[in-house]
Amino acid sequence: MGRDLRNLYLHRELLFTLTRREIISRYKQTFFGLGWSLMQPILQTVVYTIAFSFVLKTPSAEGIPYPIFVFANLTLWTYFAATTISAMNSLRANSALITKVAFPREIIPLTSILSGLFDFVVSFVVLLVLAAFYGFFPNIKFLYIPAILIVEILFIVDLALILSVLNVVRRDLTYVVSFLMTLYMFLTPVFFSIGALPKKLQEFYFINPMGAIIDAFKNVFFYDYEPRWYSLIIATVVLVLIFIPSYKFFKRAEKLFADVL
Amino acid sequence: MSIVRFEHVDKVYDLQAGRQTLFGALKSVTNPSSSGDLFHALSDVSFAIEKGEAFGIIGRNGAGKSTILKIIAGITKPTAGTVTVNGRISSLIELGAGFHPDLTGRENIFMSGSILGMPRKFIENKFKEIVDFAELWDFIDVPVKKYSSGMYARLGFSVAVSVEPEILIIDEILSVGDVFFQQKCFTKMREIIGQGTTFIYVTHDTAGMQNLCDRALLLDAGKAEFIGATTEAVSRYYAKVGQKPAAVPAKERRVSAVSSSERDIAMTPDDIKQHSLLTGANRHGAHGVEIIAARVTNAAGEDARSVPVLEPLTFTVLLHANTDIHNPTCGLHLFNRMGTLVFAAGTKQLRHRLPDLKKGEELIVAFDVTMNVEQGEYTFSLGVSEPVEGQPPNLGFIHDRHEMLGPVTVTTDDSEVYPFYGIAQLPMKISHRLKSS
Repeated sequence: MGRDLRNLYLHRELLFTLTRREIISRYKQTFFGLGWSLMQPILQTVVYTIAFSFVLKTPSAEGIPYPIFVFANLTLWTYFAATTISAMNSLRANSALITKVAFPREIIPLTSILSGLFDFVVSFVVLLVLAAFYGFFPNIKFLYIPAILIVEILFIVDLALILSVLNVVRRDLTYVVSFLMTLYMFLTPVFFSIGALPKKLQEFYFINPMGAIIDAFKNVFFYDYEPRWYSLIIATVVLVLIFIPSYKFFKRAEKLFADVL
Repeated sequence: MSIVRFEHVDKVYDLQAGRQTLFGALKSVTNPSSSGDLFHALSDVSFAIEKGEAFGIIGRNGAGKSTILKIIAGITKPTAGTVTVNGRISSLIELGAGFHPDLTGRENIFMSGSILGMPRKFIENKFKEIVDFAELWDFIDVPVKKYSSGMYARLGFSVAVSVEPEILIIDEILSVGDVFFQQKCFTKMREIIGQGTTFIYVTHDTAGMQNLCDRALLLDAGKAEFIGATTEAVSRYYAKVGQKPAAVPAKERRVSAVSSSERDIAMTPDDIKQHSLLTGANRHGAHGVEIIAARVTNAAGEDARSVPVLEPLTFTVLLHANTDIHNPTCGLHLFNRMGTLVFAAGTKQLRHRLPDLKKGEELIVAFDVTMNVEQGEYTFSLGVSEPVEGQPPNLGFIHDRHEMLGPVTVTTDDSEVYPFYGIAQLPMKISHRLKSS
């Protein structure tokens, strides 16, 4: 595994170039350009705000005005969900490259994850503006945000390594995963507060990695608190432990990509 | 030390892949060749390519050529046997494989450079050379999806040969691009071979392969049939292909009975000027006498760029003297797709004396050439010279020379028996005698 990671490091320039390619080609020749990466969280925010604030008359969630609460959650969630799906499809989408050129294949799903980060940053900047409008300003604890983000990336990497391989073999996995993602969004939860969940499910909240990540982000961003370290650390340890067999599985399956795609 | 070595290599494709259950598929990931429906793309193939060698791989479709290339390039792994490759590879399994249609030519050069493993700095230094070679300065900032397939291939070839690989793999690519670019590619490949790069060429173009490669591997249904001199590999290849009986009986060959010389003389300078094919792009000389127009016509006297093999083309040139010229000579050169001079001759070689020219005079010279050359595209050049006193007879003073004209295409009818094989038809007579017992 050490050799594989070293080889990946040697090909880092390719990773960055492919990421650039992905970002540029995504926004080139589209009318709204950057706007598209904001479209999803903004529309969802509008829909949920209407549903919760106006229909269900929820003025705020956990003491945070509802629109900004849901936009913050969606910024983290959209990066997770959209990137996991696109990384999962990435090997198929790049079959032309895989069957023609040799390089460490994990670069392909990693490219999806890195280019998704660009959308995240755009969305994050909008979040900052929106938050300032509601009276939340950056504080020193914001320095934790990259660390929180790294845990999220690690989670996506684990899922991407396994799902992208499975998706090479079985194409219909995309539908299953899209469905599970929606389910997971309700369990995390993203657009209502944790208190609305049944007591039994609340216990799982902090061992669920996305739950721990969203919770830590909320603490830092809105309350100027420390993140709940134990849940974040447990998530990190578990994700690192999952990473090792996932990466081995990917590297083992990698040899067959060119034959199957 | 061999730079590429295959020892008893097998490659088996599982035709069931993608059709079995998720569980079955996962099992085949961990334990290949477990299912029953297998295709042996390569069986027990062994060969070695030495450093600096130009090596060809030839065989019919499905013989396993691409599989070998993919194994050398590290894209796929052999099922059994050992493969050793010592050197950095640039492979053209497909031209412009890493190109993204929405990105410009410029962006794609850096893109595919880094796919081929080159640092950005290196590509920056090579950038001008790459675009010069591809002749794409006008389109370099246009997204490559707007490119023609020829432009696409030019850029792809140009990038791949610029990365200074230790092993260059080229797979059936020179069918794209016009004949001028093909000549350039052949020149470039010879240059790369000359620099000591190991060169692996896979193609159905046997003439190109014989031109470039010293040794070749003949594959048949995944087995190595022959490894050795390219000429022999090619003739064994044709022996295999030729086993098919010809379905269509040979027709009577059309014979052109028209003598063209009288008609050519009847051509006026204005006719030539109006139909002139000169580009003026690749021209040099002292211009004491100039070729101001030229035409290529077929036996029927029509402008022609294509002619059936063994039929004549007439190259008619219009000379204009800017000074008094004593004993001018005029001739043409014919180059094939690989840039090889196939034939060159003119008035001097045919001992045809042209009249001396006074300043301002014009002269029409017509060359009737029977195109007894193999099927394919040819470029030609036209020139006019003057002998120099005291120089050897084969040297002349060039007044005007137009290079890289054309192309003209010599065609064959595939439903007929070819009149000959090879670059050109030589005069040959056959006699026979039956001995009765």
